Amino acid sequence: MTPNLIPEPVWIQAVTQSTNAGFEFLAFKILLGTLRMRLQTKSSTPAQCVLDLKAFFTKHASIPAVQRDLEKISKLKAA
Amino acid sequence: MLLNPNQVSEKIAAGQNLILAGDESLLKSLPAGNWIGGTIPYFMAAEGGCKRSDLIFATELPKCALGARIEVYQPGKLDHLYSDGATDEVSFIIIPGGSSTHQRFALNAPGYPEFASHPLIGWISGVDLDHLGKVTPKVFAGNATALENAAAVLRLKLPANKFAQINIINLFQQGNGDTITFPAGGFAVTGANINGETSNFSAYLKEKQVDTRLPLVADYAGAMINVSIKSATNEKGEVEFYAPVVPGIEYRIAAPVADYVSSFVAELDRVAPNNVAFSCNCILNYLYSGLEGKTTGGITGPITFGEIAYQLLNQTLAYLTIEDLG
Repeated sequence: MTPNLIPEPVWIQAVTQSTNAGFEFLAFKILLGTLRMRLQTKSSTPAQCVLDLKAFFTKHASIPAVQRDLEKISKLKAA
Repeated sequence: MLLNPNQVSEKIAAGQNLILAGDESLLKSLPAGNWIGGTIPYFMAAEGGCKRSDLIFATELPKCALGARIEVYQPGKLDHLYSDGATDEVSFIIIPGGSSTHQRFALNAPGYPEFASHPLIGWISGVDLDHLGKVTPKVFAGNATALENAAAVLRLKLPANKFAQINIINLFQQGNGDTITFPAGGFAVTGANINGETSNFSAYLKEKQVDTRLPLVADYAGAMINVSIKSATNEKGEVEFYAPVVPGIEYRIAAPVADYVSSFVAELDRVAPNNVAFSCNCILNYLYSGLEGKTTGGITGPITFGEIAYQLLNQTLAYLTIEDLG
C-alpha cells in the first residue's frame, strides 16, 4: 500500500472527521490531531493537511504500524 | 540504573551513549563524552520511586547504535529540532524547566518543520521541590557546562534494520463532563468556552469543584494528551497550566484514576513493551499517586517536570523501544 493508491476524498475524510479508526502509531495520531486542530482554526486547508499526511506515510513506509494505519485510512468511506 | 558519579564516569570513558539525570553538582563532576543530562533528584528506580541527591540515574542507550552526536539548541534554533534529525536517527532532548527554551518549545513545536515526522523523546529538567524558586533547572550537553536556557540533544544513529518507536502510557481518559475549548492558547488563560458558552475558566473550576490534580485531556486521533493544571487562579485571575492549551482542540477534565500503580501495571501488562530503551514519568504522577517506594513494572527512568514524545506532555509516561524492521 502506498499513499497515492488512496483516493483524495478518503484522505480528506481522514483529516476532517473527528472519530478515529483505532490508529496505532503515536506520531501519526499526534500529527493527525494537530492537523485537525489547524483545520478547526482555519490555519491550514484540507489539501495542505493531506499533503502533510502523504509525506508522513511516504517517509515511514517501512514501519509496520504505519503500514497498518495506512490500511485503516484506505478503509474509510470518502467524504 | 542508579550509579555513583565514579561509576558513571567509567561508562562515559568506555564510550557508552548515556542519558543522565541527577543533582547539578554530580553532573558537573562528569567527564566529557557521549551523554546529555538534566537536573532532577527524583527517579523511578528498579527498587521503586525515590529521591536521591547522591546518585545519578543513567540510561544506557542500546549498544546496537552506530554512533551518537550531541547538539545544543538555543531558543532561536528550536525550529530545526525535527528537520535536523537524519532518517536513521532517534533524538533525545532535555530542556530546562521554566526556561524560555521550555516555553518556546511547548508553544511552537507542533508548527516546526517535520513535526512528528522525526522521533524525538525526552524530558523537562527540574529541581528538588524543597528548592523551588531557589535554584534553576539545568541541562548538560556532553560536558560539565550547566545550561539553563538551551536544549541538550543527543542524536543516536540506528542500524538500517532498526527503527525507533515512541509511545506513551497515559492512564487518564477524557471524563464525561463538559467540552472545553480555549479562544486563546498558552500556559495561562482567563476565558474558555464550556460547551460553546463563554466562561471564566477559574470561576468554572471553582463552581464545579474540579479536582485540579486531574488534567485536561484532549483526544488526538486516539492518543490522549494531557494538560495539567498548575494553579486554578493566580493574581491575575488566570488558570495556569504545565503545558499550553491550544485553540481548536477540545478538552475534557480527566476521569479519576482510582489506584495509579495497579492501573499502571495493568496497562503495562496490556501493552507489554519489549526492549524499552528509555522512559520517563511525570513528577505529578509521582506526587499525586504516591509513587515513592513503589515499583512500576520494571519501567525505570527520571521523574520529570514534563515529558516529551514529539511534543510536550504532562502526567504521562513516555517510552522508547527500538524495533526490528521487517
